[in-house]
Amino acid sequence: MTKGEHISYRTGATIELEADYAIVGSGPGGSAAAAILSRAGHSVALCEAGAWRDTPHMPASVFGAMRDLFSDFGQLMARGRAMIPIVQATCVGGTGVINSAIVVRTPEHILQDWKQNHGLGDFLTPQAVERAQTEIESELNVAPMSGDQLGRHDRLLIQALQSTGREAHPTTRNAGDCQGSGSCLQGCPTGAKRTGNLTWVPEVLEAGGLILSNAPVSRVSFQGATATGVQGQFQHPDRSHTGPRGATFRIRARRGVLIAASATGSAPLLQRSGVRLPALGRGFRAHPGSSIIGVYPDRVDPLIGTTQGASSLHHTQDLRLKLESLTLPLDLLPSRLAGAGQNLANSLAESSHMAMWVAAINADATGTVRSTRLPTLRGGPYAKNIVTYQPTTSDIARLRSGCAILARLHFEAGATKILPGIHGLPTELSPDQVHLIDNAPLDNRAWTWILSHLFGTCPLGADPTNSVVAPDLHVHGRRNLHVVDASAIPTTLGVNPQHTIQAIARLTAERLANTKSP
Amino acid sequence: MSTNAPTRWQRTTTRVLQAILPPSLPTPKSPALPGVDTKLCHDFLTRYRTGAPFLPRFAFHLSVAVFLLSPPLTRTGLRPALSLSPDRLQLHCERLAGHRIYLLRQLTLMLKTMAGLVWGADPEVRTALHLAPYPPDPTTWRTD
Repeated sequence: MTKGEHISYRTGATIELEADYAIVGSGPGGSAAAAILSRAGHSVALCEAGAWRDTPHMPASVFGAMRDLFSDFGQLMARGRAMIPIVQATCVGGTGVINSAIVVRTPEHILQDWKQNHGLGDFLTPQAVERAQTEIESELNVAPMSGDQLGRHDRLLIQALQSTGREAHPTTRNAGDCQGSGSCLQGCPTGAKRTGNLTWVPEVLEAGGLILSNAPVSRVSFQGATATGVQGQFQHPDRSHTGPRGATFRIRARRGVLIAASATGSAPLLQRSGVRLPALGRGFRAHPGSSIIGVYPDRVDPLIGTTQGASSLHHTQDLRLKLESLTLPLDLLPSRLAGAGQNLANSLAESSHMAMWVAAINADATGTVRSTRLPTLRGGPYAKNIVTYQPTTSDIARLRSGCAILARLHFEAGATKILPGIHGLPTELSPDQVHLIDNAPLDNRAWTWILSHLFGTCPLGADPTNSVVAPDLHVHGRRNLHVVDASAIPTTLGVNPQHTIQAIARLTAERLANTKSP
Repeated sequence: MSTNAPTRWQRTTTRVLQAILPPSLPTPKSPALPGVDTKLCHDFLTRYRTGAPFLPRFAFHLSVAVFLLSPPLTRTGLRPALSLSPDRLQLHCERLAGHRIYLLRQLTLMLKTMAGLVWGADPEVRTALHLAPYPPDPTTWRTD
């Protein structure tokens, strides 16, 4: 097979293309599906709204990451009583490019729950998922972190968890050769993080596929109820670009269209394309989290070592939360610390002595995603997506419990004080004040949230009145149209979702590849 | 790097960010660190103007305006924030960051974020904290 073509920003006349499958989105789901279809000999056209950046193109600063990698310049927010930032990327490779590369297999009880309560395709058996995840781990150099890959902030958490009788382990990541630069958020500076932009997307290109970058898809085309392709318009990745507008493109998909535009993007795309299902855009779920910073007498040097090297699933059953270490780049640390002015500056001066640990809850809250009717001010063909989401009181109570545990763990590990970052509490707490967290306000505006691990909005299920995709992941009432990303996941997972998304996409693509006719 | 003289808005915004994140005092654990650098901030604001979409830029402008006009809400005076004495200005920063009105806290968070983006990328700060200075952002992408 001859090498394919990468089409980046173009101007001029409409570009007409044709392939067996058009895939929207090149994140963990889209790139995994594209690779499998491509290996099976099908031609693939993979469309990505963002730019394709390889390791030498990755930004060093957080400002560069916001501009070049993050969705909506890092300003994508879940709206509710509080504004909660959403960590998501728009680039070839998707959010996998900026996440911490943590790989956790799908818990078996989750698959059983989906089978019993939502209906699950016969091809998505626990054995099939396990086989797919084993193959993915082999392809993406997945390994547990060890040795110098772990920073002191990771070791302190593991030590504190174990000394209090809790389960603790180094994270397993698709970055087996991680150099511990603490720069996951800016894309990996060494290429050790094996993300779609470095692995499966180049493979698709080598196998003769079409890769369209800077190419947001505005709608799916239909002939009757059958998806026949996608259309969109190229956008220049540099916002200061003042040249002519990008060319429009149309891709005819002979065998089908796969949507993998993320939990915040897939549902709005289907809405704009005329899909009308009651559950579309509803059932948005997430793992919201918050952090507790401990200040230690000796240097911790949190930016030495992998971004998230330690984790605990000890409280996944009783409190339905997980505990992890996390490194925040120096550029973002002021936004996490309390106060402003001299107190903020003095806190920052101790940043080398800080360790940040996070609690992320398996939240009960559900929200919605929809497309605004107003076009973007740049006149782009796709509208901004609005996420509405608000953690429930019981979610906040569990988060509070998790943060109280983290605070006590910090003191167990030798911290002299903690910085809770909770409005209404002192900015610093000593060991004898840690009980104040137990009574922290159950108002989500008091907490410093971050929203990652997004699910739902096109949930899986047998009943079209409360789901969007059927057990085989095709969209109810439509032919040749599948959703293969986190939006099809009907519940939260309680663990990092990337591995599950990749496995589901891979198995769906395998099933499609083995189907004689669409 | 910006070669043009900073605009009035850039000069004002730089002073606001310097109030939000001034130089730190030395402690037994750490040396004194510089605050937001004037030149780096001017360069950053130029890059921000061209690189950021409309809504974040609007929110940033709004944050600066609210910071300047809100001393009455923090009971630190009736004059614009940058006309306050240094002690009152520090009190204004602190009270605004912990204000009971959520929107004011969020707008201050925006300023802290912007100040952090300048400060955390400052080679002098990074060197003082034993971190390697950032190389320039390449601002390139794959085209072939």
